[in-house]
Amino acid sequence: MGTFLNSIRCLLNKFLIYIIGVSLFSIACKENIKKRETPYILDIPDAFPEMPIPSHNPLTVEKVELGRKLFFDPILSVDSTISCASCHIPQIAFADHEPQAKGIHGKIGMRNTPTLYNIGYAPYLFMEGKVPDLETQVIAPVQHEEEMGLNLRDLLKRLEKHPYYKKQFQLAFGEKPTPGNFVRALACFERTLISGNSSYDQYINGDTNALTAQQKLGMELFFSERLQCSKCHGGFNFTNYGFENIGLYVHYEDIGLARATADTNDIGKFKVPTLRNISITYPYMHNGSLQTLNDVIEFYNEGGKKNPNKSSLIKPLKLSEAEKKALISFLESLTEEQAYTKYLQP
Amino acid sequence: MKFRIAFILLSITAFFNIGCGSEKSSRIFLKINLTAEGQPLQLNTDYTSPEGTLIQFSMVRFYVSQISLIKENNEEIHYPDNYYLADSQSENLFLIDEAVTGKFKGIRFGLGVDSTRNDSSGIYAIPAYEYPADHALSPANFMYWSWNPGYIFMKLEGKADTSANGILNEIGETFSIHTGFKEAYVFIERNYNFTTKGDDIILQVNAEIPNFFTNYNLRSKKKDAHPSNSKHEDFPYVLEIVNNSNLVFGNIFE
Repeated sequence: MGTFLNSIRCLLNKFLIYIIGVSLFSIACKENIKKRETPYILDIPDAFPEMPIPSHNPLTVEKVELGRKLFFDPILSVDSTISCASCHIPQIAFADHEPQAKGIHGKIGMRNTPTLYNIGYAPYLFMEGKVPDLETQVIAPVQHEEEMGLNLRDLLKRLEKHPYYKKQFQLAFGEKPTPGNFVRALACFERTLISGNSSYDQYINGDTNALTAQQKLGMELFFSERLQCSKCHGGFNFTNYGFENIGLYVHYEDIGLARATADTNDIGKFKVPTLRNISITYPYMHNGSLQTLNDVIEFYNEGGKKNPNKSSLIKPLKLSEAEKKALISFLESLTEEQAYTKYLQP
Repeated sequence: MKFRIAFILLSITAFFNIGCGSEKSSRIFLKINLTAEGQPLQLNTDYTSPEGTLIQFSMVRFYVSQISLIKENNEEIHYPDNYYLADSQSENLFLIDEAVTGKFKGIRFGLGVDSTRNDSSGIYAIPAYEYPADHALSPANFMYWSWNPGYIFMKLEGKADTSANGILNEIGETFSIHTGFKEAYVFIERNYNFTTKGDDIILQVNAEIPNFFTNYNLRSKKKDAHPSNSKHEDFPYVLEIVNNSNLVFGNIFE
């Protein structure tokens, strides 16, 4: 009888030790990461307005850092070969030099990659302007079969398993990766991409030596009533965010804005791009069909091709060779070569 | 005296309980059986469209929303937040309600995503990224135009023998119909009497998919229709197909 009781006691002890052991192990394994919301202060250039930040996605250091990591990580593509930075290359003002973006398996996208600098100011995304914010935009390239080709559901599974992301999503959002917090993190990082310290900016901030005489002549021409470049490429970001047909073609293969509106008056209209950092974001136009700034100036000088939807502002400019060179030189002054370096590391 | 009153009250309650015993609450499901030529739809299998064209389907997918159960007294129980995605590779068994009681005479549901969830100005409009990845309305289902935000109501994709030579694998003999936009949102209503008795009720309906192409000859009409809005040149074709929905859905059965 005594032996039997001892056996029972022994079994109970073993069971208790097992339970305590399992509990301690579980506690040890459970990292209790608390959400942090350290405000991220944007470094806005003096001549720039405040950036509109959606109330549902305030900038925090934790979200920006998570977004930065996601932006440079090919984990976002189905075969882990393409990251956002594959097309939005920091050294090329977060654009690239391909006529049209290259996605997974070398697939050629529909359009030229735009710069992401100052994208947080954009009132809409994509060349048809139908995407209202960065949060909504983020999903498109990730899932598009010609870009990253990864299902959002599969992406979240990858992120949940990844030690860094598992921890950083908890830190930034207090929860595991979801579609909502994934897009918010990337949007936060993209809003930090600001370029506003080019030679031109230094000049308008009072450094009269920041521009050469040729660049100053180019600036005068650019803002002149004769050329009217700034009618569309005006404002702090050198775009009015409008849609224009510049007469690039008589017949447009890519119908542009009309793709969304189905309005024939919108055929060939594309969003007016920013000219900031334009000298390094070649090739140009919606399809990268013009290789150099010289090609672009020649195109505008000729007044574009005949097209019923062509903007009335596009007409022959009768520029002299010196004026063409001055204009190009001025456009070059809008580039901020080293702006990208601060985005490579946290 | 008190006991007598209590006894009478209990008796009345018991009487009514017995009387209502046939209306215990039930779980209600909707099961959509995708069919072709009266049999379960098989992907990449030869069928003949109502217009006599040899066709195969490689994808059939559509949203069901705004379900209402219609009571005998014409009251309706409406489920505005239930969204389902029927798919040719799924069982398509959808839970409508965990517990519902009563005598019913029919059901109504919409095909597509109604404007409360598909219009940024809608009162219930929710950005697509807010849905969990396993939700019917998540963009992860590839039923969402991300460049022009909005839901694709239905995808019908496959092959069609448009050259009428009996061969389906020729280049260009594919079709792809993507429907959408509020003008293409249609309701299906079917009469069916049922009473909840405690057991699960599975309201089944067959969807004869080739019937979407009734009076729609893929040889002469658009076989690739992807409108970007209701003014788009493809939209009238999409509308023709959607307007065949009543010919697609059969009667309800259990």
